[in-house]
Amino acid sequence: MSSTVTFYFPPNYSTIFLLIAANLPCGSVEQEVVLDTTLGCAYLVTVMNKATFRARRRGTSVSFPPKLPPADASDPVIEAYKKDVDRTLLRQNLCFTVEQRWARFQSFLESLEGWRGAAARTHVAETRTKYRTS
Amino acid sequence: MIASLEKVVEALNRVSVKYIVIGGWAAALQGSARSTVDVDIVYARDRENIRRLVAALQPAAPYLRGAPPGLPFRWDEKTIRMGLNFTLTTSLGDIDLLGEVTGGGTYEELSPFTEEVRAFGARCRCVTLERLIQIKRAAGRPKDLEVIAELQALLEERRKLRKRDKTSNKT
Repeated sequence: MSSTVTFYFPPNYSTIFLLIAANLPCGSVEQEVVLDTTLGCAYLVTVMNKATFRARRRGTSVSFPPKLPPADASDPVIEAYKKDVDRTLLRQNLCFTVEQRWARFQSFLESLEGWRGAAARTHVAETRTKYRTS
Repeated sequence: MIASLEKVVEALNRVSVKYIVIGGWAAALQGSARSTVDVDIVYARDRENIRRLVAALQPAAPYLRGAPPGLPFRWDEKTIRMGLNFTLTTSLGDIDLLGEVTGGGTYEELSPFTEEVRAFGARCRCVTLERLIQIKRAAGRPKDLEVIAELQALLEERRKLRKRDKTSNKT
């Protein structure tokens, strides 16, 4: 007894590509990605170091809040950095109200901007003088 | 350009945008001694909030930070809906608009870990110190290690202070 086997081919290559793409575990991108194994997400990292796009692995769901270690969890690397923290500044800041901290921080930023502007102007003036003399 | 939180909050509150202040400004309000030049904001992604966000920042002429001049960029609802996180330069200063943040999630997910801050007649929601540390840890960036150490030290100092206040109140 003979049997016949019939093969059905998809009409074109684009269909094959679509079938493969649809079954991939996650979206593929040509740029650098950071894979979050806990959530099964791939984050696209932009030049500004911000995640903009993500593709979730099929069949996985994101549960929030994710299980994060407590804020005061000890870590040897962080403990090493902690030794150099100037706690006097922190204690001083804690004595202020939120409004005072806000005002102080804003005034610091404004003065910083002022100094930056002054430095930039000085640099321009120095460059001009240098070109004139040469 | 250095951002003024006061101006940003004022612009967002004027049209009742749902947002949470995170990052350097949140750390500074909690008592950190570090500086930052931009305002990091997590915004709600619902249609109405996106519409309000667009209206709030429209007068500040937002443009993609670091993008070459002349690159076409339209600040509208469609752009916000199509994207997620935006690093912007505006006339109010540099603003990072985040639809989602690693370890913190979306606006709705981060909301339970916030506290209200009132200053200069304005109010805004700011992420708690504990959550801020967790977000920084989840981001896993080497540059944040020093920041996490400082924030943890701040948390310790705050707990000590509260403990001292409690004992002095009892006596």
